[in-house]
Amino acid sequence: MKMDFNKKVIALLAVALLATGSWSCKKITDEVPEDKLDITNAYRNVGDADAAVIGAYGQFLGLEKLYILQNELRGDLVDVTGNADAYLKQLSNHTTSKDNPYVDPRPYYTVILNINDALKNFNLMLADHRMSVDDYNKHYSDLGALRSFIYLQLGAQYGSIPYITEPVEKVEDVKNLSLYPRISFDELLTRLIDFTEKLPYKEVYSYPAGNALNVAIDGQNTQKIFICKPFILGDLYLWKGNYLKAAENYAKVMNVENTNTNINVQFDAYKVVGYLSSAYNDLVVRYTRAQDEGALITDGGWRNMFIQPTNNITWNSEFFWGIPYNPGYKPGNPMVDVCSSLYGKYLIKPSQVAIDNWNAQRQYSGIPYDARGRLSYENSAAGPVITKLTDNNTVLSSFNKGGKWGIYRAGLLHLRFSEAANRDGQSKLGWAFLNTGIQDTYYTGTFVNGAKSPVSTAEINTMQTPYPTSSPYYFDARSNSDYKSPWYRNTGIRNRANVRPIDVSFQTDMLGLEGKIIDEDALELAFEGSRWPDLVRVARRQNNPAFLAEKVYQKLLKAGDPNATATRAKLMDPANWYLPFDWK
Amino acid sequence: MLFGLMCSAMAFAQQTDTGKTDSSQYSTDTTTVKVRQKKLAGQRITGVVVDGYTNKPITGAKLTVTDFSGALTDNNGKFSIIVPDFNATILVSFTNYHTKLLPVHKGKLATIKIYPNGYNSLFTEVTLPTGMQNLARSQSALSYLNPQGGWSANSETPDSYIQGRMAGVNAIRRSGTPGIGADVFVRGFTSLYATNQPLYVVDGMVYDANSYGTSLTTGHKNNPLQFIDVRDIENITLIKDASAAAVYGTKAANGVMIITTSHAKDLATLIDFSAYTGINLKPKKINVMGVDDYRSYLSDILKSQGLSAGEIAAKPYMNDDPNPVTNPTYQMYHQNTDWQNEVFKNSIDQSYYLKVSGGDNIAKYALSAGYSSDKGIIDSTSNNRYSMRFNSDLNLTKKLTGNTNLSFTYAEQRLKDQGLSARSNPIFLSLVKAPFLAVNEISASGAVSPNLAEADTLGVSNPRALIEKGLNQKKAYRFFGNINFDYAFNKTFKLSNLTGITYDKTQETLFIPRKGVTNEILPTTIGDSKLGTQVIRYFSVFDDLHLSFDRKFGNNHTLHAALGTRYTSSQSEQDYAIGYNSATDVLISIGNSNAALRYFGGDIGKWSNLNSYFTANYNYKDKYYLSLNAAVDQSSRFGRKDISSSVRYIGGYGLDILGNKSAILPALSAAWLISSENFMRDYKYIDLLKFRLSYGLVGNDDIGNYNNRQYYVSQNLLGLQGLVRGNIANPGIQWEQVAKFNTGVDASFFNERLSLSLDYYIHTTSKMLAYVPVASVGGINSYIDNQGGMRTSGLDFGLNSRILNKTLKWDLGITLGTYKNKINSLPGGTDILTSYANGTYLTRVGQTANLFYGQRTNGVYATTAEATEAGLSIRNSSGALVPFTGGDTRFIDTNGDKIINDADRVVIGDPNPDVYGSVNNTFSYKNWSLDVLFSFVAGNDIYNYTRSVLESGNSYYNQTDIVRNRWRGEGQVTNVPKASYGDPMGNAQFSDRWIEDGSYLRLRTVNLTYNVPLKAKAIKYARLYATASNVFTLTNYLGYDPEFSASGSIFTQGVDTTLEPQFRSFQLGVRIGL
Repeated sequence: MKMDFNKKVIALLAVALLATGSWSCKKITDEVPEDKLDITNAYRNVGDADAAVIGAYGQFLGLEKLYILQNELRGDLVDVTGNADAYLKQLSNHTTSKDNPYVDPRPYYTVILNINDALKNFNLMLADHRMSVDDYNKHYSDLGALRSFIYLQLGAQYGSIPYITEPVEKVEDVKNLSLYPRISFDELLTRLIDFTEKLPYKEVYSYPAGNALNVAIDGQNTQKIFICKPFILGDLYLWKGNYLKAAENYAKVMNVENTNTNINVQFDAYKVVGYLSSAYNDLVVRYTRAQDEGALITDGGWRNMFIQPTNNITWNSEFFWGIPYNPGYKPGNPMVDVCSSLYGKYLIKPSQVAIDNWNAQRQYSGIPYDARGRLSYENSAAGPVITKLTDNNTVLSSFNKGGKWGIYRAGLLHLRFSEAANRDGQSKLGWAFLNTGIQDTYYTGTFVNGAKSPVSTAEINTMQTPYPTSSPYYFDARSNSDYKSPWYRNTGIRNRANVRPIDVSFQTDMLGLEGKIIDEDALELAFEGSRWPDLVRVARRQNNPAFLAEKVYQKLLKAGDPNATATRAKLMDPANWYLPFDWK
Repeated sequence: MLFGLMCSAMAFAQQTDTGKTDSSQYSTDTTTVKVRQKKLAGQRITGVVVDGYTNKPITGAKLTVTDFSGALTDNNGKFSIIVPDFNATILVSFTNYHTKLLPVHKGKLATIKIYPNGYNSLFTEVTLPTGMQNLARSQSALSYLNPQGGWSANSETPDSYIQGRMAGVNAIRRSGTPGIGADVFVRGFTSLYATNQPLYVVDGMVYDANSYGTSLTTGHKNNPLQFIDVRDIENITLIKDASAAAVYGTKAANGVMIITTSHAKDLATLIDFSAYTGINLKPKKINVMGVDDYRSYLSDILKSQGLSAGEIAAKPYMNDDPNPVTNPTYQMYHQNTDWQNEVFKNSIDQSYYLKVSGGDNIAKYALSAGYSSDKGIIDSTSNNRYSMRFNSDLNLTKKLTGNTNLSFTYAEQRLKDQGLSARSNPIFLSLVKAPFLAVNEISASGAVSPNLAEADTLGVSNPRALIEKGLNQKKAYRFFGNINFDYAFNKTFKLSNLTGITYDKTQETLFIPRKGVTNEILPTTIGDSKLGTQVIRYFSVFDDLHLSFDRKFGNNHTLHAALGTRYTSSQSEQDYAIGYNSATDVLISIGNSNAALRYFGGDIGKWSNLNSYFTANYNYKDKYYLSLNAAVDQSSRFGRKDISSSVRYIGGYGLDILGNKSAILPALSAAWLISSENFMRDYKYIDLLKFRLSYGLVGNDDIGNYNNRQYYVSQNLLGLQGLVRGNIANPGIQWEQVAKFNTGVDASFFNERLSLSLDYYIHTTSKMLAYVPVASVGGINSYIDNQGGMRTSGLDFGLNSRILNKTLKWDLGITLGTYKNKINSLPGGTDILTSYANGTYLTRVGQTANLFYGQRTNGVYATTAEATEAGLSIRNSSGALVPFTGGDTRFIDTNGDKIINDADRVVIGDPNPDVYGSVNNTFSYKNWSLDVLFSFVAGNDIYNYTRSVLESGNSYYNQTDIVRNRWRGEGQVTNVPKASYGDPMGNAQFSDRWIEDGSYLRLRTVNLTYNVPLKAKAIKYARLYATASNVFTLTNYLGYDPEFSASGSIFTQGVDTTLEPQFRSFQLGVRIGL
């Protein structure tokens, strides 16, 4: 009996041992992380999709420093200070070596990696009905457009790059990265247009009111944190040379608030308007006493757009894409460190060329310079300090590195539209947005004491552009005491800045006007991160390396850089416009 | 399994047979043998058994021939036993003596000497994963330690205690802090990024000795091994090769340290009580400059900043006007303080320990309780420890036995920041603080306030503020307990199950006061006081179920086999809160910090593994031994095929996870007991000669918990929290594999008067974890993968001898270890450059891992003309070339480009020792015994980071006396460069100036024991102990002490970051047995 019992026990235990062994394979050694989110728990519902979008933008915000340094330092408006290290100097005088950390495209691809991952998972979520079609359209389009923006930046800086749209999930995918061919910038533009155009949701605002991603957080609205899709599409077409499509897309943004029931928004938002004593349009170079240059308003007026927080109505009239920094959260505004002489390292400064540009202008009042310069930088004991990128509604300090990364704004929009319209044969329209606005440019009726006083409907009708309403070039600026159309307050970039318009002869001089638009970019958009791409775009379009090379040469020459001539010669070859794209 | 079942059937048949015969049972320490009392056919052997110490005959010693015959010695130590033939082996055993294996040769045996357990013998019974085994029969490379001297140990933890006591082990004590233990390197190292510490197995259960989370106290590491009291340890066996360790599979890469705690030996109640008190002496000071020299240095530094003589003279600390009216700060800045004296203090330790054991036939118990109060030499640091252990043995039925090992230890530790913490490390501050300042505030008239002085104008904290007002408290406890049941079906089969849990909790409180400490710059404000709290928990469940088989086939074949599984499920969690700026320095709990500045963090980890193992030990005629061990491991950490995003959540079905990777790690070993061969019969002076050979695979599963999975981590956008990819999943990640080859000889001569072991080994790591760089377009810098390899080979040598064996006895023990490491491969063949404490370390294929990599220097330019002639310069941060001038360090331009930069770096040092070991002398004379242990390390280099600050000549910090020789003017020939604030020329950069020879010979411990002769019956014995630790150290090293380990990572080895040094201590103790 005893023996039998023992045998049974052994047999049972043997079975138990074997069972343990096989059971283990599945469950026993499977642990899911708890302080990280495992893939098996990710992308389960639209809340997870929101988190992916927030995460991607959170990372994207970290790109500002690199974006600004690459786009401005390589151009003609920003120079290095004596504090700058050798790498920044290389960036500035186009002698960049491969080990230069500002050349590494990795930070861009980090965001792309996340977006690719999110887009793939959005597709899976849609297929499994974990996300509604509407949510899918918005989330997918938003991140898709953001990726196009980053790729456009990569293209403009590196020329030929690999266009990677698949996520890197496993280490095997890393090995496959080398299989992606480097495609030419032109080919990249084709693919970006194709991709972006096919996005299912291409409205100006990514998430309409009511969406969980359109909320107020930490005193800031999130609505304009997300990329404006028609604008990036417009940019892509503009680079590609499809000017009508570019203009169409830009116009979509320009007209987006035309039906807003708040008439201040309807008439002022993104329309570059004159000052009518309202916070909605306090974006004009203003003086408390005309002709007294000491009376320049520096805490309002044109500088308002940089000072005000993103929930401010003035800021909202101008900007349609900008991401705020909050000193309470990471990252603080990285440009404080780069630009400020008091609270940062003061690595970059306005170039002498930029300063001279402003000083070459003349205001209506006779003040012999463009006040936008005084509102974009300040003179300090250390030298000129860029303030545009660090302006904030609360006083800057070592501990308050707030501010915003303002990316898309009305000034930029109008100049780009001008550029597109001009190239599309609408030079007069381009001239109008650049100088004095629609009404002043097109009105041909009666004036009384210099003021427009139309006497007939026909005269009023000259206050609009002569295109069908379906045309992207149609802008209605008609107004009288009874009737105001959406564009009646439009005033033109130079008018808003209180500087005299350029000669009307440019209304029929496409190439001349294009040059003037680029010159205006330097005055209006200096330091904001569009200079180098602007130069490359125009030089490409005109097939004129000298255009670009000369501008950089002037910067280096005025800075006394011994490399100036060599750099000019180097930049005469378009292949040298691009940073080395290292596979490291 | 089938094999096991078949065997069991055979065994039952056998048992039926023996059941009928008249049998008696003998027990040795470890095995129970049944001897059939039948007419025995064989050869009769006679002889005498004597004590190896006294040469007195031993009465009642047991002699057995396994499964054959047995005998006892008579009053004269004589015996007579029948052996089956002249190939047999007799086991000679006696209580508290080593069990000797004795080959029988034709004819009468000579006098057999056996030695008490305390003697270092090759016939010791050692504990292996498969059970007890006589060292003489083992095929594995083992080191063995029986810490009987644990009674005399002075504030040791098990890991520091083994220093110098085991061959092949280089135990480097982390610092002098009580309880902090040692980093234990068994035969060098096998990994770059995974652990290099051995696996600890305590009473059959894996003892996780890793410390989870980072301490709030800089430079501190919680040491779980301090929860084991050395006096509770019965023995320690270290498996150095793959053979016996292979059953621990992917945890055995760095050796397996098997610790057995003591159980009751006798049924009689035994009470042991001991009490100790000791004194710790502060270390020898590092000579820093006095007031005058420092003032002169300071004025040079200020001058180098461009200050004019007038500006320098206007500094309050330079103003020598003693009039309190015109110069109210004169008194404040004209003191003479020896800051090291203010930080280091002698201290007193106390310790009590009580052990009670006893029981009856059914149950035996051993209960111990200890209290110790150890103090460090940094003023007001301490470690108070309370420990309790309950070990029991239960004979439940004839077949079912069990034992429990339950321990609970609580430690409360008061610490101070150490290491790289310039604001709050009191030792560092005591070296760099200006000597003309005082501890307390001083008024214009010279009155000393009871208030401590503020952080000074030179930006240095007051170390006394940290000592008196700062708080670095750690409260930690660990419960470690298991219960083990053995069911012996019969003498062949035994089923055992061990179940246990570990629960460990560490709670820390941090307070760095506002007053007296320099401020911390936070992103949004100034942090004046800092508050912190942290809880770290570790919990683990362990189960080991195995079936073992023991059988002798015929007279010549013996087989032991076991099959089992171990399952471990562990989790760790760390949660901390850090805050700043409480209202006053009295409000020190985290809740009083400024809410806006508070932040929280932590980490959760879970892992589990299943280790199935098989072991088979076979011997033929007790001469030829063969052993096969193998493990099959599965772990949550290993890669699996489909765990990345291609695994989709599909409705309610869950996940289909296949392709779990399993490690299969076998090891084979053989031993040949040459001394048992017939041809050795005439070599009477050889007691044992054994040749061993083993080869096998073991693994290292310290590869991170979740690298095999794709996961997401938090990313904020202002106050919104989003998710971004946290990694690139590596479904192929696996254990590091270490192939270990070992060959060795064990020998014992002259009746065990001399015994030695010599081993040669080659450890080849493949599938070694390394970071694989990813192309820029991958978006991340690197991922972790098994793409490296290294090789470590070396020799271990251990020798024990009794030189004098008269009234005065003298035992000499020597251990020696040496290893050479070489990196075989790294991902892409690219060098790994790591940085730590301003130093750079090179890991390159074909060279030893982690070499110091910096500039070479050759003195100082005496004149600018000399420097100009050399023509060297540096490129400054803005890219301009700046030439060296007089007083700058003369760097060697390795690549000849005339520019001193990173490209000129070469290997300037190697932290690995050429040889390490110990010499141990034990003298005993009547009731006295003296134990003298020397430990030494030779040929290792140390990067003296502390000195690199104290001789940098580039800041306001006080400097060592050497800096008095700094270059001060053209033509001065010296080897100390000029003082220059901020070091624009890089004179103090990482170079051979800071590399020193770390060799040392230390009188590690001296212990004198006196056995008090007693007449009183109530007291069984009384012993007095006098122990001295770290008595002296012979070294050329310029820092406090050449022994330290900033962290367990090999990338920080040999870097002196200003840790609490080892200190000299003396202890008196008494032990009374009742």
